[in-house]
Amino acid sequence: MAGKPAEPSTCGPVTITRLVKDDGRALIVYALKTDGRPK
Amino acid sequence: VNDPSKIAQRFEELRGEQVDYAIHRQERTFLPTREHCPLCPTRPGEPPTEIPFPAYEIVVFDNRFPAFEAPRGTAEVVVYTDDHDASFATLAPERAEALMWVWRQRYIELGARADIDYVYIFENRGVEVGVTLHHPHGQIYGYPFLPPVPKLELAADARLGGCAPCTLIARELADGRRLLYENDSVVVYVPYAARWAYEAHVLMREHRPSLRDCEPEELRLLADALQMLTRGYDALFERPFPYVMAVHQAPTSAVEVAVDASEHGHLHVEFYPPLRTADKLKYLAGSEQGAGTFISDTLPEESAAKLREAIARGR
Repeated sequence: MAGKPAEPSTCGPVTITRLVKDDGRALIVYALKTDGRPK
Repeated sequence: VNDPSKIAQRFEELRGEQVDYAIHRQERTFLPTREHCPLCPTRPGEPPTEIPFPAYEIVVFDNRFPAFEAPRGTAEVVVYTDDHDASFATLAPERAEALMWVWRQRYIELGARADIDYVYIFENRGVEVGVTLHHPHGQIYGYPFLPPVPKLELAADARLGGCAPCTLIARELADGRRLLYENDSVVVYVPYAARWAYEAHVLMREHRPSLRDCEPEELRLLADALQMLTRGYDALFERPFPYVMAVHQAPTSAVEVAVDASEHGHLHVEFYPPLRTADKLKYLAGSEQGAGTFISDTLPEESAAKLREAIARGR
């Protein structure tokens, strides 16, 4: 991946982490929050 | 990233419509074996895929073969799960609910872009509708113009003197014969004038122009209704059921319409399944393509009865 991921943000039950692929395309990773909710 | 000169729009005068040319897509990955699936996780010691992690939940990335690209729109891939053999219907309910939040976040972010007039979230499922990757995923197109179908929906609002989907929900609830499933926030039915044998529309009960306007509980119940329907589809003929899933929301700009389009629209999801029996496809042939008139082999009320039974079996 090119560069460090941006600081994660949140949206409802998901955490959002933004990255940039080596060819410049955006990649966004959404992870379910682990605040006691089942995954 | 692709050369923008390979993407162009031309205007077809006879039909009065835009045609998008994205000629690099001719070379896109086509039905790879599962060992070469670009949407699977990158496993240690294996060649990298599009997603450089050994596991993930939901990811969105810029399409390697975009039909639209900045500064004139965008094309994104939304991967629902790292399980190659899953489907939207088989996702855990919490994952399906999370996907609604992902869709919402993409609608808000892409809709804020000046070059995007309409955010269109969709899924093509099955080779029958042209899918090129089997791994469960959908797509998002950010159109740099307002496409014809949402434009027609705005015209329906004007024709009916208010929100057309609000009117149609009331009609379907009063009639009842084509209803498929309901929960506190969502109504699912085969439309009165369905084009496809098992076409279904999934509508928010309350007037919600977009995912942005939904309460968290409404997003959860939207995921519930979508999963009920898609499980029912798979139960109908006891086979993976191909469909196009189209999420319709308010336009994100007022371009080309006389009203503030962002005020109009009613979030709903339309499904266009090409199967009319377990092994027969509905083709778009002479009347549909040349005259623009669908000829259907089935009655919506009869299809709805069969689909209701399948939804009950698929629960």
